[in-house]
Amino acid sequence: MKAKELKLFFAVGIGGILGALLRYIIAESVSIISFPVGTTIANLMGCFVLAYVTFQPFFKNKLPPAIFTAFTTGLLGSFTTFSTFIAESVLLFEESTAWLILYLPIQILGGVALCFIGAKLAISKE
Amino acid sequence: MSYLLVGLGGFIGAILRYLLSLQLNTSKYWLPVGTLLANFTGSILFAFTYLFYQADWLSLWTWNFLGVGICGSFTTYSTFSVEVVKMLEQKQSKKALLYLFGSVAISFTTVFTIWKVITL
Repeated sequence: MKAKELKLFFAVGIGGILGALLRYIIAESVSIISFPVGTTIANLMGCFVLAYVTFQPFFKNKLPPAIFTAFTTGLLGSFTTFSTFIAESVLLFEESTAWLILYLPIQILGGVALCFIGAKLAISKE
Repeated sequence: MSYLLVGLGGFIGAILRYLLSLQLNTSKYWLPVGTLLANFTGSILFAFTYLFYQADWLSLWTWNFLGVGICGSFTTYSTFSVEVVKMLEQKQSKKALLYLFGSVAISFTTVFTIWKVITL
């Protein structure tokens, strides 16, 4: 493996540490409420920021590749989570279908909507 | 200690996901198979980890490392959503909808089945 590739892997890993810790801190601080607010905040915020950064060429062109990948694939990729979202959906469904009917659209449509807003803002700034 | 384990898990999970995305998120495949595979397998592993932790078979430390850290970071929601939006931008709405709802449906159904079988 080339040194350059190794550097990218390491960068993604460092981003992963920060993303996982941020997600953990948010989840811990809102865990008083039984509705999965932590994952919702992390996923929706992450979607918005990743879309903005992806669709705004400034970041990809100006930042060194290691920093860009560390932030996008590493930090934002780890900050947002799919596995927790699925497990929480199953748990909510066990409690009541109504919670699931509320949670799924917030995540699924909310995530796509925030990506769209992020992308549109990024393109309009161009 | 929890922070250390979550962080270490995040390091490993993110690198594993990156490896999969380099191999499988290519134009060779119709869908971003890397993200799909990471999210699907990560959801299954997360479900088992959570169930075993709830049953006291796994310690809080193992849960923090394996569940919150590795599975949490191995799976991703932001990349997944941005992939959907990119498909929509390229006027591939059918593919986008199939990928979006398909990913959620297949993972949800699998995890739900595991849940039911284990907590029977």
